[in-house]
Amino acid sequence: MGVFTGLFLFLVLLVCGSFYGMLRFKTLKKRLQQECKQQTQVILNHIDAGICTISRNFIIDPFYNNKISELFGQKEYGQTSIFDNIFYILEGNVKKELTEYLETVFDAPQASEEMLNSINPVSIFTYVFNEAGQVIHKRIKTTTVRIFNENKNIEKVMFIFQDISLIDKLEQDQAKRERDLEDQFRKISVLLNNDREIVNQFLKELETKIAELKALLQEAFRAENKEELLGQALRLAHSLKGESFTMGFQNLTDLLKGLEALLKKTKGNAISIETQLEAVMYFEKIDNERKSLLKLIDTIRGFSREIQKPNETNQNSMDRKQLLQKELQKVCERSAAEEGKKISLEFVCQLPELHERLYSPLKEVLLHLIRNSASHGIEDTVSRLKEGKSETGKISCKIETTPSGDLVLVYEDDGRGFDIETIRKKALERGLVSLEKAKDLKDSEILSFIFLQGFSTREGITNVSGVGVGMAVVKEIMVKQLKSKIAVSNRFGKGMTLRFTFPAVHIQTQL
Amino acid sequence: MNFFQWSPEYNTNVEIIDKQHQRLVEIINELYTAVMEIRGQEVIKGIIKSLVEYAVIHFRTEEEYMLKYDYPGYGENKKEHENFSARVAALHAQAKNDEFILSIDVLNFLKNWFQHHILEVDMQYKSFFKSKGVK
Repeated sequence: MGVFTGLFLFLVLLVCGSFYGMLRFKTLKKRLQQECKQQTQVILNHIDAGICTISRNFIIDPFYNNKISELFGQKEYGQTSIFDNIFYILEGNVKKELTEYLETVFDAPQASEEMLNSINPVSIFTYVFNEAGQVIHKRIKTTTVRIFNENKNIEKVMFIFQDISLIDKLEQDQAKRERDLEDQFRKISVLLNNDREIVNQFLKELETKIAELKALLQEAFRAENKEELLGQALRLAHSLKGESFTMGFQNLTDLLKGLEALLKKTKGNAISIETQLEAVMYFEKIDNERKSLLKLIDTIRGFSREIQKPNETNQNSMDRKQLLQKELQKVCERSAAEEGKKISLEFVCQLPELHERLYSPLKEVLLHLIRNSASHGIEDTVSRLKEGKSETGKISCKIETTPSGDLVLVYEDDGRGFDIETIRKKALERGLVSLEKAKDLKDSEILSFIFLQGFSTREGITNVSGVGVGMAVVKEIMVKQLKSKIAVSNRFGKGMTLRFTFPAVHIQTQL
Repeated sequence: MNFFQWSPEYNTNVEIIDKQHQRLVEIINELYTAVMEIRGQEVIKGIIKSLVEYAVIHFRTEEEYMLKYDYPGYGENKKEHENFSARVAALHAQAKNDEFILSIDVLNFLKNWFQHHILEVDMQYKSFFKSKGVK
């Protein structure tokens, strides 16, 4: 009895013991697995890429990391199809391609990883989503990695997602900067090779004019009577803008356009501190742009000194008449291109020589006139053909002397001419003339309005013109500076002629 | 014309610190005048140099006071000092390399610093130092 009981007890203990042992082993295994899982999860979460695996049925396994949620902005994945979660944003055809791709991946274990990734339709894709009312675009790079089982069959496919938005943007910015610099480099090289004199002239003038602009702004900020000074600064900025545009210096053009728009907004003597600070900001940037241009040109000159030497003597001997003609042709080409029109320019100077004192003012005036003709006067090709005109608009400038010794500049275009009624209406709107008086004004009186600053029949500022400054500059230079008389003859629908006469007596005292 | 006019409400009532804060206002006003008169890069660069000197001296003084009296906001204040110093050092490097500095950027930076750090963060120690009897 005692022996049996003892044996029985022993057996019971043995069974219990082994049960206990098994139980303990199972718990231990489970715990180890759990820990392993946790550790894996910790490791996964340290990886700076979104990671998940899918099986043949495209269901996302419970193993995925936090980065996935961060990238795609959802909390829970596991146990639903990858298409319902991460790729729900894809278009129908991409979805189809991706399904086909994944089927290939599962069915072609012999294919190389590289080959497969090269046909991955989502290797880089844009993920667009809403976050707190803001639309966010993410550029995501996707790589797939196959996980094989012991039979060398593919068990799972791992997706690795990387957010490349920032890198992408940085690369794009860098590429753009390089392109811009190269572009500018190329443009200036071409300019230096073809129009060396023009570039030299421009840079020389740019320096003086920027200094002038600075002096005007400084004076305007100090003085009580700002209106006139600010107006002068505006006209100067406008002229410079046109010239830099003609040369193809886009940054400089944009900055001057900015300053022009800012100064245009000031009224009378009032200019706020903010506007003054903004004007200084533009000025500093403009001056810095000039310096950068000089540096760039110096570099290019260093490179191409060899090539340019043979031409040097020839280029230097170019006289002011030729230089002016070349510059005007350039303005005409650029303005026509900007406006999308066809324009030809005829330039005749009957003077044996163009005096330096005449060269600069005439150049400035003609630049404004050509830009105005290109922008307002000359119609586009379609309208011209409709009017029965030739496709190409014509501008002509002639500088000649009369038998009595007066100097005459005749500027002509075959555009639409001035629309007297539009100008009359605009003058009324601007309060330049009363209603009763407006009716009785003669055409010549109406036409005098076009020379007023701020008088433009067109809205908005373009690279070419559009603020109603150009004609005011023309008048200021011609009448105030050169004491010329202006006669406008208008052929509505057919064109217009401006005739500037400089009395011989003034020419002699001035030159 | 001054950009900032010193006002008694800016006082922290620690004499030496107030003097130094007034020096910053002076520098800001100098810069403002230089901007409005379009004085150019050289002047701006000179002002940046005085900013470097100012930051070194002033932050040392202020931090010494905070440490001496065991001011609880020391960490936060020092961190802002470091940020300011880093920005000024960057400007100084730009100036030394003859790089273009937009004067309005510097002016705005200083204006924001004054309004945020001196008028908000530094004002927090005013009552603390007063309770410690610092003058």
